[in-house]
Amino acid sequence: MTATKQSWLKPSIVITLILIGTLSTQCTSPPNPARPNNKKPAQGAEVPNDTETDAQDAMPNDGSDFSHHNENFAAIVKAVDSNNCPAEVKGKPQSRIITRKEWIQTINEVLGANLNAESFETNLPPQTQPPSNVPYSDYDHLQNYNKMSIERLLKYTSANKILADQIVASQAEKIISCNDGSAKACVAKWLNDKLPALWKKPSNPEDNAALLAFFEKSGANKLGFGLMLERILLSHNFLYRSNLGLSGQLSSWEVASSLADSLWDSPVTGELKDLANADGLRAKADIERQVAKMIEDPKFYRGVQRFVKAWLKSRLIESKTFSTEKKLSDEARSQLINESSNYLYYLIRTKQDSIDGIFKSKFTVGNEAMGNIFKFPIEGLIPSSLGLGANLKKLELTDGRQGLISQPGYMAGISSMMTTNIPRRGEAIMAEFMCQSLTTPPNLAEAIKVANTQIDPNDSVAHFFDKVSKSSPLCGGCHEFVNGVGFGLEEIGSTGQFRSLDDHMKPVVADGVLIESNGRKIPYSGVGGLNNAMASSKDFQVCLTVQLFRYINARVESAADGCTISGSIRKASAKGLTFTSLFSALLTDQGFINRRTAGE
Amino acid sequence: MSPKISRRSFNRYLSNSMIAAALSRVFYDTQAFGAVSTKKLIICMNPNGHANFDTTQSNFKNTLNPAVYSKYGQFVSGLKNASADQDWHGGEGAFLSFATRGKSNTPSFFSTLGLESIHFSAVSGNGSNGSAYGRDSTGGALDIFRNPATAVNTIFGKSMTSVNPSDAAAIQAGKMSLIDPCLEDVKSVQNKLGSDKVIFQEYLDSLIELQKRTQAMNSNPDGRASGSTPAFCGSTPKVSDPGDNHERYKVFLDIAYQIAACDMMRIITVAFGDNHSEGYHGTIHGGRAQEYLQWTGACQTRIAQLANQMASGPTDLLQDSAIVYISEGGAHMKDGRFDQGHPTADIPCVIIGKLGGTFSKTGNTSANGGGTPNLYRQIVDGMSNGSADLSTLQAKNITPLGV
Repeated sequence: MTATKQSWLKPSIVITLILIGTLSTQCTSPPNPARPNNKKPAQGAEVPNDTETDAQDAMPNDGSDFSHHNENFAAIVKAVDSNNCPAEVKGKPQSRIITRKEWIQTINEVLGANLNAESFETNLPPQTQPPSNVPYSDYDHLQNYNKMSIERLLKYTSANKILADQIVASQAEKIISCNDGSAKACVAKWLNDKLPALWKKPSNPEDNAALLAFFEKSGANKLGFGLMLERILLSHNFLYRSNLGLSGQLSSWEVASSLADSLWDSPVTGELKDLANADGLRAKADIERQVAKMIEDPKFYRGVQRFVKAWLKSRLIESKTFSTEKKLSDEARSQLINESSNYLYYLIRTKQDSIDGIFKSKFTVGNEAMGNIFKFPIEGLIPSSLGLGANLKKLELTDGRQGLISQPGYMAGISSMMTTNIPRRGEAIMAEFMCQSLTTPPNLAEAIKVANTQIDPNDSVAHFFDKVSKSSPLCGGCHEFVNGVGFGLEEIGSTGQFRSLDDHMKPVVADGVLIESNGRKIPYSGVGGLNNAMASSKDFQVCLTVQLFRYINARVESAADGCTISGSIRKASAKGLTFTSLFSALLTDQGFINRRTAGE
Repeated sequence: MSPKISRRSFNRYLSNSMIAAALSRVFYDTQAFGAVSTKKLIICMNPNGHANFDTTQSNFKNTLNPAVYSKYGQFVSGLKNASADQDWHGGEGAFLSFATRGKSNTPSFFSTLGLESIHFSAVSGNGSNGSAYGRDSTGGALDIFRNPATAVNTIFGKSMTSVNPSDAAAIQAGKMSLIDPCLEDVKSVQNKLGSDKVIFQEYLDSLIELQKRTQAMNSNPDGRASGSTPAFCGSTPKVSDPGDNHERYKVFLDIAYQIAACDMMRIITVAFGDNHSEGYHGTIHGGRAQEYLQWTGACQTRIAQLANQMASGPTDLLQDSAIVYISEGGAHMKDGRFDQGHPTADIPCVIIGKLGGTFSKTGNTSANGGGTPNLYRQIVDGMSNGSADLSTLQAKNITPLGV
C-alpha cells in the first residue's frame, strides 16, 4: 500500500493506533548482549559484552534492555516441557532496596510512628516504576529498577533525620526511662524487641553491643537514641530486603520477610516475627505450613491486590482520561481499578482459582453502581467472611463476556482514550499473559510510512488494520502477533462497554488468533473465545508462574530460572494448578529456599 | 548584597496568574532577589518535538524582549537527539544523558555535578516516574513535582537555618559516625558473598561518595559558592493546583524563576509531560496538527516570558544562568506537511542566557552534526569550570558543542 500524506492544515484521518505505543515493535530482535548486574549503564558506547560466566546473571540490568526477554521465556517453556532439571537447584543470593512505600510501612508498623506518605512525600526517594516501554508490568520493587545512588542515599539520610527527630520528641523519653534499670538497659531491651523487624535478622549480641556503644558515646540520652536510630536506618540491613542465604539456605528471618512481603504486602510482625525469632522457618514443611496459613489469612488480600495491580497495570485505569461525556465518577473508577484484584481474591476464597476459573467464570466483582454502569445484574451478595468489604457484589457478566480478559476495568485500562487501539491491547495482553514482547523494528521510517496510511472509514477497524499490516512485510509479521489478540477484543469498547459496532461504526469483527512462543496458533472468536484460548494455552501457565516469580523474587527471570519455574508448575499441577498452588509452590521451591554460597 | 526590588517593578516581572501573585508575596519577604551569582540551569521541555526551526524561532522572537533576544537568544539548528536511534518514543530516561544510543534509563548529565536539583512535570504521563526525564547517578528516577502546591510547600516551607562553621563541623562529624559503621557492616557482608559481592556495590559506592561529600563539607560548611547569599523564604504561599495542564506548566515556570532568583537550586527541569502523556502524544498520531502547533507554541511562548523575567530584575540573571529549551522529538512540519510519526531530525534547541560564560554565541547557530551529549558536555564543563568527574558517565571523550 502506498503511504498517503495529507496537508497538515486539513483535518486528517490516518491510522493513529499502530503508532501509539506499538509501532515501535517487531517480533524478533537482534540479540544484544545483556549487561552484567554490577556494571553501570554504558554511556556513549556500545553496551559491553556480558563478562559474567553464570547464565543466571545474564539478564537485563535496568529493564530497558530486554532483548533476552523472549529468548528467556522460550527457554523456560522448554525447561517446563523437558523435565530435565538437576536434583538440586540453588538460587543466587540477592538483595534489593526497599521501596518508598515499604520504608513507610515498616516505620509505621514496627516503630508505631504513624507516618503518612504525604509527610515524607519529598523527603524519601520516589516510588519507582518500570519504564512504560518495557514488558515487565508494574512491579515497582524489581531490583532492576531500584538501585542505590548518592541521590537516594542523601534522601534517606534526610528522611532518617526527620524521623529520628519525631521519635525523639514522641517516644525516646519513654524508651530510655523504662523500669528495667539504666538508660542503656532500657535501650538494650528496645533493641531486642525492634531491631530484628527493622533489620530482618535475628537479634544478635554483636549488633546490639555495637549500637549500645554508639548510644552511650552519643550521650546515652534522647539525642543519643535519635542518632542510634539514624544509624539503624542507614544500614543495609534496613534499606535492603535480602535473600542472601549465607549458610546455603535462607534464614528464618529471610523467609519470613519474603512471605510477609509477597503474601501480605507488609513487614514482619506479630506471630510471624515470633516464628522467625524462634528460627521456625528452616524446614520446607514448616515453610509450607506457614505459607498455607498466611494464604488463609484476610491479609492475603493485600498481597493479591499488590500483585494484580502490578501484573495487569491497574494504574492505567487510574490515569486514564475518559471523554467528557463518558467521565467516570471517582467511585466507579475505584471499582474498576480494583475489579481484577477483587475478582481473583473472590476466586481464591471460593476455591475457584484454577486456570479455568480465571478465564471461564461468567461473573465479576464490584458494587451495585458498577453493575449499573455496565448492565451487569447482581448475581449474589459476597459474604463478609470473605473479607472483600461490605458493598461488593457478585455481578453476572452479560453478552459474550467471560473471564479476566473481558472485565471492563482491565479492558478500559489497556485501551486508548477514545479508541480501542487494537495493537496496544494486543501488546498488553501478549506481555502480561503470554510473556512475549516486541522490540523496535530496524526500519522505523518505513513503518511510519505505513502507519500514516489514510484510514478507510468504510471498513471495519479490524479489517482495515489487518489489510494495512499485511501490506508491508516489515509490519505484517510482527503485527500478526499483537493484532491477532487485539482483534478478538473489538467486542468491548475503550470505556469497557460491550458493543456491536466498532470505532468506525461498522459491525464488530472479532475473529482473532493467539500465537504461542513455539508458533502454535490458537484461533478464536470474541472475548469469550480469547479467554477460552488463554485457558488452554501452556504458555499462559508458564507466564503466570513467571509473573509470580518476578513478584516474589523482585527481579526479572533469566533462562537459568527455568528449573525453579518448571518445578513449581509441576508441584502446583499436582494440586490442581491454581493461582494459590502456584504462589505456594514458588515460595517453597528449593531454588527459592536454597542459595549458593561463596565459591559455589 | 544587591538592592531589593521594589514592589512596583517586581509586579512587572510576574505573569498574571493568581499563583504567581501568591508567590510574589513570598518574594517580598525574601532578601535574595538580585543577590545571587551562582550558575543556574533551567531546562524546559515539551515532549514530542516541535514544528520546525523557523516556527520555534518565530515563537520566541515574538515574545522575547528585543534586548533579551539579541543579547541572549541562541537558536541552534540541526541538533540530534543522540539517545534515539530512529525513535525517541519511551526514551525519556535516556534523553538527558550522555548516552549515544538506546533508551535505557541512564544517569542524567547533571548527576555528575553533585548539585541540588529539582524537577517539575505538568502532566502525569502514563509512564509516571518510570518515564521521568531526570535520572540520578545510577539511572534511577528522581522526584518529580506534579502538584504546584506540594512543590511550593516543600521549597518555600523548607527551613533553612544558618549554621556557624563550628556547629556545622560537629554535624558533619556526627554524620561520619553514622556512615563509617555502615561501611564496615556492608564490607563485612560482601566478604561472605564471594562472587556475589557486587550485590551491595551501589550501596557501598554511594556511602563512600556520601563520606567524601561530608568530609568536604567540613572545609566549606555552608556548602555554597563563595559570594552567594542563601535565600530565606520566610513564609509559604498558599498555592493550589490549577487543574489545567497548561496553567500548571506556567505555574511551574513561575516557581522555577523564584527558585533561580532565590538561589535555592542549581538545576531545574520543567517538563510539560512525558512522551506517553496520552492526550498530547495523540495530537501527532491523530494528525491534529493545529492542536499540536498551538500546544507547542504556547509552551515556547511561556518559556520566552520566563526569559524576560530572568533578565528584568536589578540583577540580570541570564548572565550567570541559562534557560535551555529542548525536546526529544524532531521537526514535525516539513514541506508544508505534518509528520505524524516520530521524526528525530532537528530537535528544538533554544538557549537563552550565558550561564556564566558557558555559552558565548547568539543568533542562529548550527550544531554542526553534534548531538545532545555535546550540548550537555558544554554545560557540565561550564557549570563545573571543567572540574566535573566525567569518567563514571563515560563522557570524557565527548566534545562540547561549541555554541
